[in-house]
Amino acid sequence: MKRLLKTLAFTLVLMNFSLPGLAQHKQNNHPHEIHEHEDGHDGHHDTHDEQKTSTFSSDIAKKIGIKTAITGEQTIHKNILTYGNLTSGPEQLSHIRARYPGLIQAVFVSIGDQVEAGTKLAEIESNESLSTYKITSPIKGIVVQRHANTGEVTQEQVLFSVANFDTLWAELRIYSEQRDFVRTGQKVHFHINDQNIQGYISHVIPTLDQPYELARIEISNSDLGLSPGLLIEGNIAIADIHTKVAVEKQAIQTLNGEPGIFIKEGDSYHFSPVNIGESDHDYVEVIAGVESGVEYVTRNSYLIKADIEKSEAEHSH
Amino acid sequence: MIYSILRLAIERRILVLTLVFVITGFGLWNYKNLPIDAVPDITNVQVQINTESPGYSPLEVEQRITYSVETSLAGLPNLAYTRSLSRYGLSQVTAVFDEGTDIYFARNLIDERLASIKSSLPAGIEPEMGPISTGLGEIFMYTVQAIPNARKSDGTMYTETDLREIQDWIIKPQLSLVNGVIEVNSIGGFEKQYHVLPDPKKLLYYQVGIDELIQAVKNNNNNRGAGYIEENGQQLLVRSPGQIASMEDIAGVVVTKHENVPIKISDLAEISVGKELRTGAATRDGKETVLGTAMMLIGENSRTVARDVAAKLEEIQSTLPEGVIAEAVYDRTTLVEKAIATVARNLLEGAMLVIAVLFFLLGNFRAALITAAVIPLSMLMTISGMVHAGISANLMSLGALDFGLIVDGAVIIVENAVRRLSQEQQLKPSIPLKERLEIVFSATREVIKPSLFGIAIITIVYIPVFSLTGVEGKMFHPMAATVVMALLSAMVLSLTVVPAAVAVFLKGPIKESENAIIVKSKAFYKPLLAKAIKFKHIVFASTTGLITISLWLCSTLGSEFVPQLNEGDIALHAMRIPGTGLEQSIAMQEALESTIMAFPEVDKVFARIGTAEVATDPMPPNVADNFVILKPRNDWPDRSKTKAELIEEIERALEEIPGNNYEFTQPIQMRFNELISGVRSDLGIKVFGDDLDQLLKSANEILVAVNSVEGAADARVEQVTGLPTLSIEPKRTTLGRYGLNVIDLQNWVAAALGGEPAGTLYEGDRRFEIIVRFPEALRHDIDHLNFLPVPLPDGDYIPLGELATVKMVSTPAQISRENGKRRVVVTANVRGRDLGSFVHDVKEAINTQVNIPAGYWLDYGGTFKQLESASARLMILVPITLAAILFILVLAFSSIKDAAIIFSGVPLALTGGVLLLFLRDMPLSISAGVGFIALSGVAVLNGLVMVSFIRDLWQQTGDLYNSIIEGALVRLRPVLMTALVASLGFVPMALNTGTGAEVQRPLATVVIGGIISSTVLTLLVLPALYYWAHRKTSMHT
Repeated sequence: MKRLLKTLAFTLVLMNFSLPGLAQHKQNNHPHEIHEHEDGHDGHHDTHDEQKTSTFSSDIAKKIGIKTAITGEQTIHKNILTYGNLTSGPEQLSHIRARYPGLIQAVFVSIGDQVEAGTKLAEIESNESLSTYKITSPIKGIVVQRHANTGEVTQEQVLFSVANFDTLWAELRIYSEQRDFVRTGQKVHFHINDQNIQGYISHVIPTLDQPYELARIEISNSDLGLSPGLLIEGNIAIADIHTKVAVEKQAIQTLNGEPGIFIKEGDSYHFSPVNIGESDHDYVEVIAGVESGVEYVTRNSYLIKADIEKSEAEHSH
Repeated sequence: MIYSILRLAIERRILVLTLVFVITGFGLWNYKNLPIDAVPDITNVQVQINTESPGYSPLEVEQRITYSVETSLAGLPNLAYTRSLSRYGLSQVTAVFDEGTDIYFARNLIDERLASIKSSLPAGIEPEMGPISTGLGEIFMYTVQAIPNARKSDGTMYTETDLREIQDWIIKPQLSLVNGVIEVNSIGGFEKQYHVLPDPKKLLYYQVGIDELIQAVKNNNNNRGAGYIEENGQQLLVRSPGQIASMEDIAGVVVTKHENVPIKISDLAEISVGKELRTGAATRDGKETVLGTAMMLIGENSRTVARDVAAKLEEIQSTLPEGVIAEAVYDRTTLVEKAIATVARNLLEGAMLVIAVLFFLLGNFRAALITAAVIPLSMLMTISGMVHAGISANLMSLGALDFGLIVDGAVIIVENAVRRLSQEQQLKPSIPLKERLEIVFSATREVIKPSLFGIAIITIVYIPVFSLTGVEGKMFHPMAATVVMALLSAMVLSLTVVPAAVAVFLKGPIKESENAIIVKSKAFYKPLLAKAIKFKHIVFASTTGLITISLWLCSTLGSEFVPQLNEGDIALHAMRIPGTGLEQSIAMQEALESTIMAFPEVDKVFARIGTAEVATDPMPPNVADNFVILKPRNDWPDRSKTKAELIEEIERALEEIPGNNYEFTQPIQMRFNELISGVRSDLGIKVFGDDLDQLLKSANEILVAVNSVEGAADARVEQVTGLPTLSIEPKRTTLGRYGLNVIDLQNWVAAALGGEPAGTLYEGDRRFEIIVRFPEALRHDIDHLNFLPVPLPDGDYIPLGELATVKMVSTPAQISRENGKRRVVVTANVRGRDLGSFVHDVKEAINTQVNIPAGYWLDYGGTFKQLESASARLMILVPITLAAILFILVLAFSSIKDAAIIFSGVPLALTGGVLLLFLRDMPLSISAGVGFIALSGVAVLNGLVMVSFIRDLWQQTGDLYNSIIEGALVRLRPVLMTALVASLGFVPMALNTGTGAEVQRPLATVVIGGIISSTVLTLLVLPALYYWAHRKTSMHT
């Protein structure tokens, strides 16, 4: 009995030895492995996170294409994009009828003929008086329609339409959201049929039954050859704002929901939240947050944001 | 029974020997079918179901697609679990099946289910199953590039779109036909598309909607067959062609008429070859490229397939346009060949050493040859076994083979036979045949039992290895299986072929020279043994001391779970912040890759960014998988630099580049990680529920709770938010006022900004999509988006800003689900305390501090679960195994005492293993554990032979002391021999530094160290122990 007990105790000791041999290394392994891995990053982004700063040499900055600029005065050209139609003004299209019905004796112009104000268009023999009278063009322009031939009887119809497209009107629709910004006298850029055209808003008129107003811009069409009805896109310069401090638009990045820029100090780039105001395609006004004359990152500012926030970047499968 | 087999083998010796030829033939034939790979495949049985859903955001993908697919899978037989991922434009559901499920069966079931849900998915969305491949599948990668200044036939430079076209329509179709290739996946470049880019002003002017434009293209792009007509006996096919064949054809499509003038597409839009909205890109050496990946069918031989693909690519190269080069950048053959070369060299050198030792110590060439013959024979038998068990030859499965161990049994038998025969010969110079056979029989019989028992014991000790599950199981089962097969083969051989061969070939004068070394060692050993028995208490004390020291050493050793095979190449994830665009990622790759290329050790760098055509690895565009292919070591400026050092240097250089996070790994390892997925930290707390915000809130509360527990490290919440989204939210009232439905606006936005497919343009076999969308300039100008005119039903228009609010919001970047429910994971590691109590504390902290709302629940997972179950299993299995060994020993000796004495060899043997690990500064690993297992077997075998001999002598003479001295002296040679062969057989493995050696090195180190200590201690401590244990008993015979 005693011997048996002894033997049993002996085997137990052996088991105890064999067990940890197998199980122990399992216990330690993982923390160890991950520990090593994490440490590499920890030290790195701790400093970033707290101070929102990223540091790298100028060589690297050059390699990854970081560009900087100095904050300073800038004029911000604010503009809005609107759509509308080209129309001719009411004074530029004349529909000419016969004053007294009668027989058309002679027609002097045809479609396409250039006419001056007072140019004789046709001669008509009045049905009542049988005397012949002439019809003249009330405006200078081009004959665009002719419904009159010698020997025909005039009814109430339009005999000639004379149009003058030397000046056209761009009518841009101004919807409620843009209404507050649009004033007469503002400059408008058009890009029509590959031509850059400029004009100024002459007046802003309400429409009768539509939810927008029309900004009308006179466009000199003498050498452009545009025709009314065309759908056009107009860029209205609503304001030129002179700002004390402005930064390039591409410099603005959002960190933790705050917009800001990266200020360069030596080899370190520091995030500075800014209060932004007006902006245009290229520049943003800075109301508060940064002074004038500070060097800040313009191109590839995203890389610095990425570097600061990179602790979040993980590979999840 | 054993004896009758033995007798039969000796009597029918010629017949038995012809068996050798059968074994050889069978083995060689099987060898041709043996799959050869570098590493064992550790992928689980899984099917990926990818659903491409262009334009869908993560939330919609989850709601419309993932949910449907996932629910359809519920209840499949053998389904272990499902997990899913919903990203922009992609839903991936992974169904993991129980181990051993037939993949084709599983795919069939899934196919059936998918067919039934087709109607519930949005139109045009089709789920597809991923390629039938595994983690070892990505065997071959190549890039398609144009040499600088190469020009197309029309004189322009090759663009990425052109290269992708060459990849998609020339290279891929041919490579897909190579045997064993299941998929050729393309990433990089742009799929060629024909773009119709309407000017919104012109559309409005002519009062044409985008949908009309799309419809016009669709309606004017078809060939129709109209049957046939017979005329004068001949049959005429009738056909009306109308397919669009070129850009000019697209331009000529009439959309509408304006005052009787037909308005063609060319009046409304520009037509160009455009770029798809791609989800992935590829770079090489800092420049964009097109990358093709050939994936291997499950169960194929990677070496053969990769070789065939390489040959085919070479062939294709000659058919490519001038100046375009398809170049292999990753070829698995290289790795497999290196790994196999390592194994082969280890085995060959081991075998040579074993043969040398045998020859040297036996002093008989024939006898040595007979013993050595067991090596190739058992190897061939093992190969046959592997082929039939479906085990591939790789570093792991062949890694634990030690020819020394295998020949142990044969050594003992042959040695005894030689000894007996030469003894007999000294009495009478020529022995008659019958007598010789009788001597061989009795000599074999003398030792067959211990050697059979020994082999049985070594086999049994491998049982705990079979209890490993998961990744460890997959890595080590083949290893254990191979070793067991080899041992069993050797056992069969020592029962049959070895005695037969001894009987046949050991005739004539047996020159058994007790060579000088043996004589000297005997002279040295005898007094030593006597002293050991005399001062047994000192011996015991110092032995116990040694064991204690090694136990302590054992606890100071570092540890490593599964050894990492050095694949020779480096893979690294470069991760940027979520929301980083593809083009930005490509730009960032440039700096990264040029930095890596600056290292003289680096041959090529290439990367995959985002998701490839077939989403085998769905990555967002902010993640890039970089592959760094190293030059052969001979071309390194400093050949002694280790890979770890190089990685460290690269990492240091890369840390300089801002904006990236890195994770270093290796190509195959990376693939395995991607496929196995799951939580890779110690503790993973999964929060399940419906509302993402609530999930995130609870997860963050849990994070706080976890951090409050002592020992918590690296705790974090899985990143799920942060995808910047431009949200165009319809204003319903305004829409209503203008007579529009929400969908009208959405359709317009989708077509205008995202683009809408409008049919296919066929160029021979090649087919390209025709896409209608707004010009790039308009799409990119976010500021002016508000002003874009949206057409109204009455032909009028209104700016988008009136109908919708355009704003930037942050949406979930990805939605992960598991088993059909949304989940967010909180992960943590443990430092400085044991995992079990940590998990317990965490659970308690969460229970008290965190209030989980109704409908939400937690699941605790992570490696701690595996550890728990593995420990639980081992707690049962290891004692059972030990008990089984003890039982066999007791069976052999019918004495518990003797069994226990033999058993004492185990801890004695382990001391040497631990010591050598410590001296070589190697961590404990499962590899080392397997070494310890093998070692226990050898130690027991040594002791078994020794004790059984002493016992027999004691039984014969009745004199304990002299029996011990005599027996120990007689067994000195076989013990030394088995020890030497077993340890020398592993020496090449322990010293090799080639590819894959790191897996085998710990194992070999443990065995060598252990055998040295076990031999010394068996020779001295065991006899002393035996004497001490039996000093009071008398042998009753």
